[in-house]
Amino acid sequence: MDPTNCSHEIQFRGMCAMCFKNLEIPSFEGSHTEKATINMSHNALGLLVSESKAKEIERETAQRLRKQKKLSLILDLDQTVIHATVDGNVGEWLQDVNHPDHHALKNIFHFTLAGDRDKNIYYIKVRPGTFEFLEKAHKLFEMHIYTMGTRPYAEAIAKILDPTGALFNERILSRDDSGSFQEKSVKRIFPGEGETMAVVLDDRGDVWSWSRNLIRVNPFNFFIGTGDINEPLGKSGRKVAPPPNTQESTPAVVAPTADVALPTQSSPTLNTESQTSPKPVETNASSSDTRTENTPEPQITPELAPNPAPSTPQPPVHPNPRATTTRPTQDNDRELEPIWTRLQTIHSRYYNDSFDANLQKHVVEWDSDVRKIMDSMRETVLEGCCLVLSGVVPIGVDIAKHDAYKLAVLFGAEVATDVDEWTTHVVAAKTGTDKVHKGMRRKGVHIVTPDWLYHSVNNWTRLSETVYSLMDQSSRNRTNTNSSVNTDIASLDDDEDGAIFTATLNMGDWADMDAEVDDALAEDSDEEDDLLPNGDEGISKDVQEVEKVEEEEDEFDFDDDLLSREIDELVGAHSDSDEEKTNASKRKRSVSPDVEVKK
Amino acid sequence: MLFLKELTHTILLHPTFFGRNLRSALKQRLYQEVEGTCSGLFGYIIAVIEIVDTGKGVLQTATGHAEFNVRYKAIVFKPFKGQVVEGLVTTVNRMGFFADVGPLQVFVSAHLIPEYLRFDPNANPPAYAGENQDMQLLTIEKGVALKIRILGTRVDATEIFAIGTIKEDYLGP
Repeated sequence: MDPTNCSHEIQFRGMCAMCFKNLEIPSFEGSHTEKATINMSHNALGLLVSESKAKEIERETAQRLRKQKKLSLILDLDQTVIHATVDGNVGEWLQDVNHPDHHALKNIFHFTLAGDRDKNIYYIKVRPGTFEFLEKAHKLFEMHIYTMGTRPYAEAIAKILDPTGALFNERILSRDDSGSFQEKSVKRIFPGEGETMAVVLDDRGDVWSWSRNLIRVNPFNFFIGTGDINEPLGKSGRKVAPPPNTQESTPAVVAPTADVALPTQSSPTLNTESQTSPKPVETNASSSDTRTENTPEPQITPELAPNPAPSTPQPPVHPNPRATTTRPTQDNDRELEPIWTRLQTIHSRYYNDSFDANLQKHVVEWDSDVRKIMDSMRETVLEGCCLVLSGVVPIGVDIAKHDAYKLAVLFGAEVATDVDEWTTHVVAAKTGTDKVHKGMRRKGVHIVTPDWLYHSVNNWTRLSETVYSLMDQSSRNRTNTNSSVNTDIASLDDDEDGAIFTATLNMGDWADMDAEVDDALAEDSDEEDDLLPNGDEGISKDVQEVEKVEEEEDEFDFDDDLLSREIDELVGAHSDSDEEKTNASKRKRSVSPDVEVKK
Repeated sequence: MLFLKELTHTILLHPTFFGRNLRSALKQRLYQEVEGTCSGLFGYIIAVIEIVDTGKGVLQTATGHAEFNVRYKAIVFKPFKGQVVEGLVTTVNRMGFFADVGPLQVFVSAHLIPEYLRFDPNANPPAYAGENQDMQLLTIEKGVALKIRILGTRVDATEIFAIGTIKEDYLGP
C-alpha cells in the first residue's frame, strides 16, 4: 500500500501494519503514532488500532454476539470465583485424610508458576458452584477473564477453570496486559459499542470506579487471613469495600430463637438466600495464623459440622460451640446462585421479544444497553428512599466522591445533606449526632447503620431497616461490652463461627424476625436485649473506626452554633458515663433530655 | 539473515577471578552478557563461536577490576526487508497474527493474509481458516509453522520488530 494514502489504522510497535512505514519518524503532518492509540487485543503485544478501526471491529463482534444471542461477561478471578493462597500449611492439610474438614477440600488445585524463583505452590480453592456457573453462563455469555494477577497466574487459573479452553479461549486480560495496577476498565476490552453488552463480575467495586456494567459479588474468602493475593496497589479493600464479615449481623439477631432457626428446604428468593447463609469463615479471621497448629478435636465429624446451606434438610445440630472455634474453613458459599439469576434476568431483558421481531425484519441496529437494564434493576432497590448520611463521609471529603453516596444514588436513592420532611432514612455510623437526633424527632424516619446501605446494595434488595437499626445495634454493642452480665453470652460471641448460626431463613422468616425484634424493642428490657446474640465484632469495630472522624464532623456541624456545640459535648459526656453502666433503657433516658434541651 | 561476524565486548572482571581460571571466567561472562542480546546495528547475537582475542586486562585504579576488550566471532541474525523467513505462530486475533522467527517477533496483519483465510472467532484456539484454490483446508492457529516475507522492520537500539505478509505465492502454512 502507498504510505501517502495510508491512514495507519493498525500499528505494531510504531510501524504501520498496512504500509510498513516507520511512523516514529516525524513528518510534516504531525505524529502518525497518535492516529492509533487503542489496544484492542487482550495481551500486551504492542498492537494499536485507531478509534474508527476499533469501532469497526467492535461492531463485528457485537453483531456476531447478537446472532448467537449472547452477551459479554467480564469475570474477575481472585475472591470472585477462586481464592488463592501460597500458605504451605494447606499442603499438609490436604494430605491429612482424617482432618475433619477434609470434605471442604474438594476443588482445591495447586500449581507452581514457571520462572518463580521461590517455587511457591499456589493453592486454589474454586468457589462452590463455579464450574456449574461457568457452564451455564457459557451458553448466554462470551466470557472474558480480567484479573490483577500476572499473566502466567491468570493462565494457570484459566487452565483449572476451563481445561479445554472452550469457555475463555484466550480472552484473558492480566495486569501485565492492562497497563494499570490500580484500575480496571470495561473500555480496555470494549473501547466502543461492546460496552453496551458487557456485564462485569467482580468482588471489588472501587477498582471499576463503580462502573454501571458492574455486578459486585461478595468476596469469596476460603483460606482465612489470606485476602486477595493480587490486591490492587495502593488500595485497601477494607476502606472502600463494605466489610464482608458484617454479613452475619442479620442472622445473629434471630439465630437463638429456636423456631426460626429451622432450616427450610427451599428458598424462594435467591437474594435472601445469600443474605441468610452466614459466612462463618470470616468470623474467626483472627485465628488465621494458628489454624493448622490447633488441630480440631477429632470427635467432630463432618456430619456434625454446621452446614448453613439452604439444602440441608436436617434440623440444626447444636454441638458445643467451642468445638468449632478452630475450624479452618467452611465450604458453604452460595453467592453465585443469586448472581446467576441476576445475569439471566439481564440477558432475557436484553434479548426480549422486540429483539426477535427486529431480527425477523433484519434490522441490524439494536440500541439496547445492558447498562440501562442494570440501572433500572438497581434503581428499584432503594427507590423512594431519601437518605441522609451522618458520620459516614469523613470531613473534608467531597460527599459526591464517597462510595456510600455513589452507591446510594446508583441504587435509586436520593441523598440529602440534612434531615427534612422528605427524609426516610438516616444512615449513621454512630448515635448522638445532630442528624440522628433530628431524624429521631421525625416520625417514620429509619435510623440505620451504614451496613444497611452496603448490604442492600450487595444483595440488590432493600433489606429490613429494623434489623440494621442503629439504636438496636448500639444497645447490643453496649450490652456486649458488659461481659459480667452474662458470661455465657460472652463466650458465645467468641465462638460465633457457625454453631449458633445454623439458621437458614427465607422471606417468611424475615417477617418473624422483624416482629421479634419489634417486640424486643417494645419491651425495652435488659434481659430481652441480652438474649439477642449481640456482638457482631465487625460492626462494633467499624463504628469505632468512624468514631474519630465522627467527632471531627460533629465539631464541623455546629461550628457556627456554639450553643448546640455545647449541648453536643454534654451528650458525649452522657453517653460516656452510660457506657460504664451499659443499660439500654438508661441510654434512652440519656437521649431524651438532650432532645428536650434542643427544643 | 544469519551472518558470522567479528564483534567486540568489554568485560569488567572482579579481582576474585584473577588466577588460573581467568580465561574460563572471561568466557563464561562473555556468553552470559552477549548471547541472546540484540543490537540495532548487527541484529540478534545468536551464539558466540570463538574468542579471537581477549587482549591484556587493564586494571582500573579505583575499583581493582580488570577491563578486557574481548574480540569474538558470533552468529548474528538480522532481518531484512523482502527476506522470507520461517516462523511459528504464537498469537492469533482478529487484527492478524504474531509469529516468532527465532528471537524476532513478526506481525502479519489481516490485510496481508490471503482472502480465502477467514478469521473464526469461535474457533478454539482462535484461527484463520479456509480452503485455497486447490481445495486444501488451511488453518493458521497457535503453533503452526509458516513462511513469511518481511515487509518492514523497525530497529531500536535493543529490539527489532518486523511486519510481514503471507499474501504471496509459496508463503503461508
